[in-house]
Amino acid sequence: MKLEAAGRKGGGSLAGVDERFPETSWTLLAKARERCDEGVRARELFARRYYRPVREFLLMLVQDAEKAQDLSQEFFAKLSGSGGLLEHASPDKGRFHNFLKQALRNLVIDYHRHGRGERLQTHPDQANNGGWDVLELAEFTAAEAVFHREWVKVTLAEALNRVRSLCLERGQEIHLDLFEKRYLNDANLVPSWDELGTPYGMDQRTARERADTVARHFRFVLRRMLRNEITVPGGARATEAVIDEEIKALLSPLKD
Amino acid sequence: MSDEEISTDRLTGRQLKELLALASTDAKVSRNWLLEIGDMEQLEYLLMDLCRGTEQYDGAILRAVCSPYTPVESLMVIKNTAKRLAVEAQGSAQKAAGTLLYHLSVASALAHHARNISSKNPSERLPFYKHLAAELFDDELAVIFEKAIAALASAS
Repeated sequence: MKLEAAGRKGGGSLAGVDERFPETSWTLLAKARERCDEGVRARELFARRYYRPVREFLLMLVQDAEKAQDLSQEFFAKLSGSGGLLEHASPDKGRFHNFLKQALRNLVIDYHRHGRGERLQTHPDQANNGGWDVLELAEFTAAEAVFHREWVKVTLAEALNRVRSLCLERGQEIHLDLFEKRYLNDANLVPSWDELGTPYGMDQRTARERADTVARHFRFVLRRMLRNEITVPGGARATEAVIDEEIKALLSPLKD
Repeated sequence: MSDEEISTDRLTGRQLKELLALASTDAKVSRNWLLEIGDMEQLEYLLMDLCRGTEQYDGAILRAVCSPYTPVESLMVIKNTAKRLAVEAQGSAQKAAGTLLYHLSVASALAHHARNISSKNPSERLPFYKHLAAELFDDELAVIFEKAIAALASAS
């Protein structure tokens, strides 16, 4: 443990804590709509953050890696600005990822409407009363499941890397290593605390306590990230129960 | 531990679920509520919640307890208020908020004025302060305990 008061990065300023939380999707989107340099930076960051969920969703629907990549680029290019895909998205109308999903659906419908997808057998104007606007592709459900899984991965990666930075600042490398080996390893069998502690000469209790420290950081960072994304009517702070509901909503569609 | 950033690409559904469950308040883990508070914003929110209906809380107490310029007399008032809030608190998190404010006031007096405002011998609190300094999420809170540890070390 560092005894020097000045030893902590951030010098005890609140900015140090705020840096541990990424910009919210809404903040990023607002910046991405700007035409200045910050807008360019925000668009890049936005694309980096959401590329995988977007690409996987599109790949599931067009079943062609190259086309999915082209469409993904089109999606991010159309995202901001007047008439952009998320022009009407607003935090008081729902969750950001739902707007993103709807915008992707619209992009895919547009893709088929303009005859770019050869796989669509039925012409919606003939099959449905509402035509293209109510087109419901059977693959949407599977694509949304893939989008959801990738969305969860992106969100967790963001939180975990914030926690990683904190642990490295604090000299908690061993804590982090124990946490990673327990929760993030590739093996099917989860190692016991005894096995995890042995290389460090720790008993199981100590090993678990160290990993719990990281788990606590993670819990705090992820919950704060989720809270920052949620807009409660009247501008109130999202309660712990609301955040728990959000976690359940992220959890329940996931398959083992 | 890898030098690279953490990737979640290869995580299975089971692992994703386990991580999400870790962040839930339903998680089956032992809780140290003092450490669960997290940061200034959360502590301030809990203190506001504690004071709801009884007195106005505008965040001044928390700012004062962290400031090196707050006189010892004021820290003593904060300590007594914190003790009362902790006793009266209903929920675990709120009780922890009152308790943490209490410890912050005592540690701040040690750190910034080299004064013990508690009836307890401060050296008895050293292991506890070390624990808080190492484990608290927020640097601004943790640094008060680090400074108190340094003050105790230089006094002994």
